[in-house]
Amino acid sequence: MNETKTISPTADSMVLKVRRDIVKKRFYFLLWGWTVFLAFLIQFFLKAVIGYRHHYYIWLGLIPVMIITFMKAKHREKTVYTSVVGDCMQYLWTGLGISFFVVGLIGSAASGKGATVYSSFILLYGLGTFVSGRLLRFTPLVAGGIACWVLAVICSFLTFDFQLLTAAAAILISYIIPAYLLNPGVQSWKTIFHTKKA
Amino acid sequence: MEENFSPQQSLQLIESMIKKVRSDIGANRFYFLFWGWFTFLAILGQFFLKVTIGYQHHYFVWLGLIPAVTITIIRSNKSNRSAHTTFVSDSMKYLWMGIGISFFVLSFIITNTEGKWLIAYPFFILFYGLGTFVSGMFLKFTPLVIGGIFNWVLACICVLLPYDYQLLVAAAAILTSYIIPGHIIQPAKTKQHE
Repeated sequence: MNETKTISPTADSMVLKVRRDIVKKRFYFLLWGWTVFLAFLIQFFLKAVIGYRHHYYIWLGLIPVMIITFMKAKHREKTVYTSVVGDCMQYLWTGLGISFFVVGLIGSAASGKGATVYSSFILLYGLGTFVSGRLLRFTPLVAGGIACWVLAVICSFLTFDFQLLTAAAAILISYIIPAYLLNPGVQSWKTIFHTKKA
Repeated sequence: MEENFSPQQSLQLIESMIKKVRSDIGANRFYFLFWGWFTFLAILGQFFLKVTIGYQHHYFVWLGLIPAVTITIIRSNKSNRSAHTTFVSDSMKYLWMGIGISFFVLSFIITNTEGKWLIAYPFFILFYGLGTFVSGMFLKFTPLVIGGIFNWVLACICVLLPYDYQLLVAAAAILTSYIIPGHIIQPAKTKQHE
């Protein structure tokens, strides 16, 4: 029996709408992507290179970024339109957000058992990126998600210092690069390849 | 390419998509209940063999996966597949595909951790809870949402317990997030499926 797959054309327009919404919010994606990426690199520098004891202080830098995000979001008009695609994305990332929190709790409770919390974070991150990429039919996110899964496995072989670098690489591949590629001027990997060739 | 909808049309479309997927799930209730009960009993069997009898190869109970997988493959080949897919059904497929790969990757990670399989169950329950919660939200089906939240609580409790009792917590996770919602969801009506 042949299976013919039909998807409602309305789903396509919903995907386009959500992708356009994300492009509008690119500022936040890039702000958070670069902040977290640089925070990991600086923490690595402070801990592994300089040997500073309180290397984790770097994460206090998230406070001004939160304030900037909050202030900028207040001045924006909110999107009234909701779609099944937008809802699915919201549910997915709500679930992942709670899971990050639970992983933190499990990690702190299981520290004596050698739980690799960074690997689990990257794994969760990869899951969210992969599913989002499939929902939005955006290949760079799917590729980023798969790369995160590979990085999560690699991360589990490494010491804490180098786990920081792996986490930075995960943010770069699955967050920063796709956010740049979601630029309305850059449609897909095919477009980039085609432009370069020309 | 792009279509304009009124808010009501959008809501109707979303409702119809959700109904379609729930009806598909109702039609596939057998698999939910079969796998739910199989896993639940396997975990309890492992607990009995390990803790009560003290049998060294308690994990042999998981060899039962071979006939279970065979039954699933044979049965799914016989049943007609739904030709129509909706965005919600695709979302469910991508979500569980991702969760499945995550379980596989997690197994690799766990073998590299110091505690090895001692830490496995809390993480498995966590991912299980995530999949159940998001599925419940996609399908607007409260028993799944509650099951997912309950699994997250169980994951936190599980990490505090010794391995033997982690098995019982895992069985409770399967019961609340798979078996109970599987029994609650309405079986699909034949006409509706046609």
